[in-house]
Amino acid sequence: MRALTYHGKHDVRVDTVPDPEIVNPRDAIIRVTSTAICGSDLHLYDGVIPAVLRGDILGHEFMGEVVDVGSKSTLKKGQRVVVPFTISCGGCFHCKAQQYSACDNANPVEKQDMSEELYGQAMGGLFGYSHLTGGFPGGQAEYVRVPYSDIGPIVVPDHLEDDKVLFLSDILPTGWMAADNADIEDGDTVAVWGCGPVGLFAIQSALKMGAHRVIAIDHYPNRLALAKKLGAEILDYKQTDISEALREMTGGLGPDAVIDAVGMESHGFSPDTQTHLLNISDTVKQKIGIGADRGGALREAIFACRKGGRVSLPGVYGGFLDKFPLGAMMEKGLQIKTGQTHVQAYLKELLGLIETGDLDTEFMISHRLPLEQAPTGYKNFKDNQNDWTKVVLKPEV
Amino acid sequence: MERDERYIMRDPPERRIYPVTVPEHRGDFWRNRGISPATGVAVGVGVAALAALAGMAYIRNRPDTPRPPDDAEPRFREGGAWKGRFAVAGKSILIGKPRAEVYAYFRDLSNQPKFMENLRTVRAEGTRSHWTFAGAFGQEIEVEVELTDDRENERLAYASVPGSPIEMRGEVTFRDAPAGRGTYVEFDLVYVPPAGAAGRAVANLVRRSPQQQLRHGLKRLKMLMEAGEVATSANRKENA
Ligand SMILES: NC(=O)c1ccc[n+]([C@@H]2O[C@H](COP(=O)([O-])OP(=O)(O)OC[C@H]3O[C@@H](n4cnc5c(N)ncnc54)[C@H](O)[C@@H]3O)[C@@H](O)[C@H]2O)c1
Ligand SMILES: [Zn+2]
Ligand SMILES: [Zn+2]
Repeated sequence: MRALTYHGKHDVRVDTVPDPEIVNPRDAIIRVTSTAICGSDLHLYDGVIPAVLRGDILGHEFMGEVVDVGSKSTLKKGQRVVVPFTISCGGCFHCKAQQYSACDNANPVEKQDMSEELYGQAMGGLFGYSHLTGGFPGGQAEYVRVPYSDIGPIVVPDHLEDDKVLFLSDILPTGWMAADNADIEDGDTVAVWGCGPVGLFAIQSALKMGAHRVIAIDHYPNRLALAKKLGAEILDYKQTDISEALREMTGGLGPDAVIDAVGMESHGFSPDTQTHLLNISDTVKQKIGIGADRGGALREAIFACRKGGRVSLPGVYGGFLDKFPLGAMMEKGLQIKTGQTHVQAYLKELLGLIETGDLDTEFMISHRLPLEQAPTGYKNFKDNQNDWTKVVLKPEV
Repeated sequence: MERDERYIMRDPPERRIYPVTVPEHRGDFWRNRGISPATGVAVGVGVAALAALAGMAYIRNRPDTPRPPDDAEPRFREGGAWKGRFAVAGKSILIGKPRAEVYAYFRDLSNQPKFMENLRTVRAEGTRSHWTFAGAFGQEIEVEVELTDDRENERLAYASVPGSPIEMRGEVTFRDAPAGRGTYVEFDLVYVPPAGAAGRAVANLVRRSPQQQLRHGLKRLKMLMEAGEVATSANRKENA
């Protein structure tokens, strides 16, 4: 089959690789009809996530048709399914507590050592997202082997076309969980850093969950325009002192909840705020390979958050962050909630909201490309973020 | 709300390139030192450019850190792995199943090869069992094992009979975890690898400490009991 594989930093290619087959009883094989490139994939593309090996198939946002099933799969051939990017067994402590991304039994035993050493506990399993999370071949391919297929994939009705439901695989539930983690209350102002796909869905979700106002921060005009269309008030961090603006807009209180939908590759070198200055040293360290994370947006979010407020962190971080404003966190009594999304926990509810038209899922798709052009998609989604807001790949085209 | 208008953008910003300007007083700085501002700026820019070039050269030529293989041993060594000629390992694991179920699965010794490394088969008759291990160079090592303690749902202990090529003892206890979380399994293992130091060298060569082998074994047991299968990222059977 054809699949997008990793060859090194900023070098991904579509190669011919062996087709997957059923290996374990709970497996299913999916023929991919749509798959997307995610901001998380850019962290792999930029080489800032460890343990990505040459030849690894990337991609964790995908859907398609069931073409083969193992003896214990509950799926049937021919069904249309969206597959969560989190692989979860359904039976461990974490799965039973609906913390699906923390599943103990998805990451193969031999691969657990690395993250156990790095984080204290081994990570769960994710499709196409480095060997830290299992080294599972990803979804930017014609076919995918889906383990624990009786727990993850959700069957979608035929009248909802791919573009409407594809994002159930990751970014829609991720934006939803980001807002959920902000514990929104009546009258709340929620500030969201990053108007990429995750930030945009977080904005939409926060408004659905009753936020009084949502303030969105980025600098790409097109992305800010999308945020505004959703109903957010927008700030450009290149032209505005964000901390001051947020304080002034809330009568000095600060936003009740802040959401970092930027993650470990925060931009911003403008020496206008204390927090951005620190980002410069983070960048240098990331380039020479010590310390992994660039935390400009996160620092600014914590700095801006009101006392006793909530920090929701869907943005991905991988290693260590210096100059973490722990003092601000503690002295202001902030709460923080974060994590890879527990996709399976939200699928039913969100599919319902798509069906009733309560959630718009297509507005951010800027480009649809054949799988063969995936490398072009990566390049532009990275270098041309203003115009390339979300790329969907179609293996069949 | 009115005041917010100072910050909120009515429309998304235009993309623009920001012109770089040298503020007035910088010129004074150089002039006061008898250097023309242009020379000062030129020298400054030159120095900065050299520094940047050196930095870039370092970053570019720095060799890539080689990635460890997928199953590389953690860099830290777990304590107590070798005590004299004995390999010693002890680990506990939480399994989300009732104690009776976990005990029964473990008590059926023929299940052991499904999760313990290097163990090919176990045939049991009463309290005696016959274990076949994978040895070096494709050999097989046969060990006779006696069940030395068997308290239902609580404890199991076994030991190789005297004169076995592998001297080993294992002890497993089963305890209830609180609030219906399942069962804590605690497994202690002591063995003398075949051919003493040579076996140990082999074990080190394949970079698996006793502790790591046991940890992997218990995690596989957990997967079998909680998920019904052992996770693999292999896309085809021949690689699993
Ligand atoms: N928790 C999860 O399960 C999960 C799932 C999907 C994605 N993510 C993560 O969410 C993050 C965002 O994903 P995405 O797909 O939207 O990525 P993206 O790269 O498309 O968007 C990031 C946006 O952040 C903006 N940005 C950068 N620096 C900023 C700053 N200092 N202040 C304000 N905005 C800034 C960029 O301009 C860009 O528009 C990534 O880190 C991704 O890995 C997490
Ligand atoms: Zn994603
Ligand atoms: Zn699980």
